[in-house]
Amino acid sequence: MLEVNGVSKSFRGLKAVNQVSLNVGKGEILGLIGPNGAGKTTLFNIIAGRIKPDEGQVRFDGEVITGLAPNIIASKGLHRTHQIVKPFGEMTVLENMLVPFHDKSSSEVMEVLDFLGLKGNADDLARNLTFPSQKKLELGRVLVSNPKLILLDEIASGLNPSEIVEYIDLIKRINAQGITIVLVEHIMHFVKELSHRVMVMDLGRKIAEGSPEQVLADPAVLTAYLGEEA
Amino acid sequence: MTSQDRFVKGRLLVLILVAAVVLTLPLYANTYFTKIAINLAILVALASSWNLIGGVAGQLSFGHAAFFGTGAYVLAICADHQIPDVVSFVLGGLAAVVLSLVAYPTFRTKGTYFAIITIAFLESTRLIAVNWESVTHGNSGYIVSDPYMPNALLPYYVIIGIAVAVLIVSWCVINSRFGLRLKALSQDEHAAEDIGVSVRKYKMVTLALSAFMCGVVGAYYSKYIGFIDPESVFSIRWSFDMIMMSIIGGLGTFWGPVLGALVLTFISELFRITMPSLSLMVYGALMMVMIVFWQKGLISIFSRFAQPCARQGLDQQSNKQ
Repeated sequence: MLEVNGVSKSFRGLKAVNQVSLNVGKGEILGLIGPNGAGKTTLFNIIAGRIKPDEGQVRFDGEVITGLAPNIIASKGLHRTHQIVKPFGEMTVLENMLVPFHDKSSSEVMEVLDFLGLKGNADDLARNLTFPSQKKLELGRVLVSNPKLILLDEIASGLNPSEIVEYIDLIKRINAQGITIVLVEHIMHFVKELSHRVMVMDLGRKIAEGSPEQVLADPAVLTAYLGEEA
Repeated sequence: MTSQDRFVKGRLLVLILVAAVVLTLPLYANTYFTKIAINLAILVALASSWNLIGGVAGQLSFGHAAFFGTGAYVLAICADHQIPDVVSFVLGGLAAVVLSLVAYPTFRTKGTYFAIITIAFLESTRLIAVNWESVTHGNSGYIVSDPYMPNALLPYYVIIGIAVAVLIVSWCVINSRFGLRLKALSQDEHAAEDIGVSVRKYKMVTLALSAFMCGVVGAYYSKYIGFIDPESVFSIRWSFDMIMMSIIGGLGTFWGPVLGALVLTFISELFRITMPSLSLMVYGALMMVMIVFWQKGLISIFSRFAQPCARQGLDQQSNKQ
């Protein structure tokens, strides 16, 4: 469904993403992990059209989308959420949900809010929501536009353990609707619990790929996270 | 009858009363009041037009006097060729739209940079009007042939018609999903883009719409006032007035610019005879107070009117990009 082939991006000579390729099948959940500065978010920005890669190609649903504008990519069903939430604070939750392109009626939108547990907040200003609720709202804006694939950028960061359990369940239910998911995350048990497959990046390169258990036992991955043994 | 029904009926009654007063005003008011009413209608139309791009979409434009001036000159030129008024008004609006297309590349910039570019843009158009003497007669100004007869009823009803049309457009934009997306992009362009909003297209369409309406009002102004020169119609004062009225009344709301125009007209008439220069000082002071303490504008007193009815009506809105 999503194919990334040999994508690279440098910032002032620093290779943020270096010849990275990945493949995500329909209905899959791919976990993308790596230490800070590994290039995960840059890779997301490339896929979502926010940044143009220096080289390489991104294909979505068989179509080349490299270099297209973010709104065009979104209209094809490839959506993302942000690590730092971006609610439209001065608008109500319901109004936030009416910004994306869809022809759902108010009651259908309310169903999506209900699914996320935000039904009671429909008329609240988005800026007055709690942080976890704002994250849900951002997810809601994506869900309401009938996505085929969602890129989740550190959706679990800043959540407490019980909220993390809730989000794991939520993402499983989203995935059960046939929506493909790629998630960047630092919280390991979140990644392990959800991912069908995990890919590890370090210093812009892909260093490992496989099942969560396999990958987390990989010496190269341990080195990337913990450093060389003295 | 529910309280909601009573509220709607009450509003309808107020609307009918206002309409009745507005439509019959020249029949019993003296020419002084009719002139004030015409000025007020001009300001309401201009501020409401500006508010769409400047308030709802949050793109602070100081350049709108350029659209106004362009409309004014187009009418003056058309009047020399005996082109009917209605056609000249539309041509004035269209000329402003063409001019607004020049702004397309400027939408790469945001905030302060955008605001500065719009000032440069206005200054360039003014200089064109000054120097293109064969067409504009330059600094000596343009005497409009066949202007409205002073004290006639027609100019009053024409500007009321234009202002009402502008208000209807403004209402439709603000209460549509198009308007909602403008509000969204004014708060966070990237977030809006990430959920499929073509930010530059939305801004451009809104600017063109806003420019068209300012152009039409400019054309009317030219016909009404009978003489224009670059200093009078390409003056940044027009832009300032539009901005001040929108801010004082309430940025991005439907009633804000209307209320702002009412307040500013009232202040300027209050001091016109006694101390004309005082009105500018009062403007300025009011503006500062509003920005520091009351950013939502006077309209927030009537928050019921300011709140867009999100639930009603949005379902019926079209969803085409």
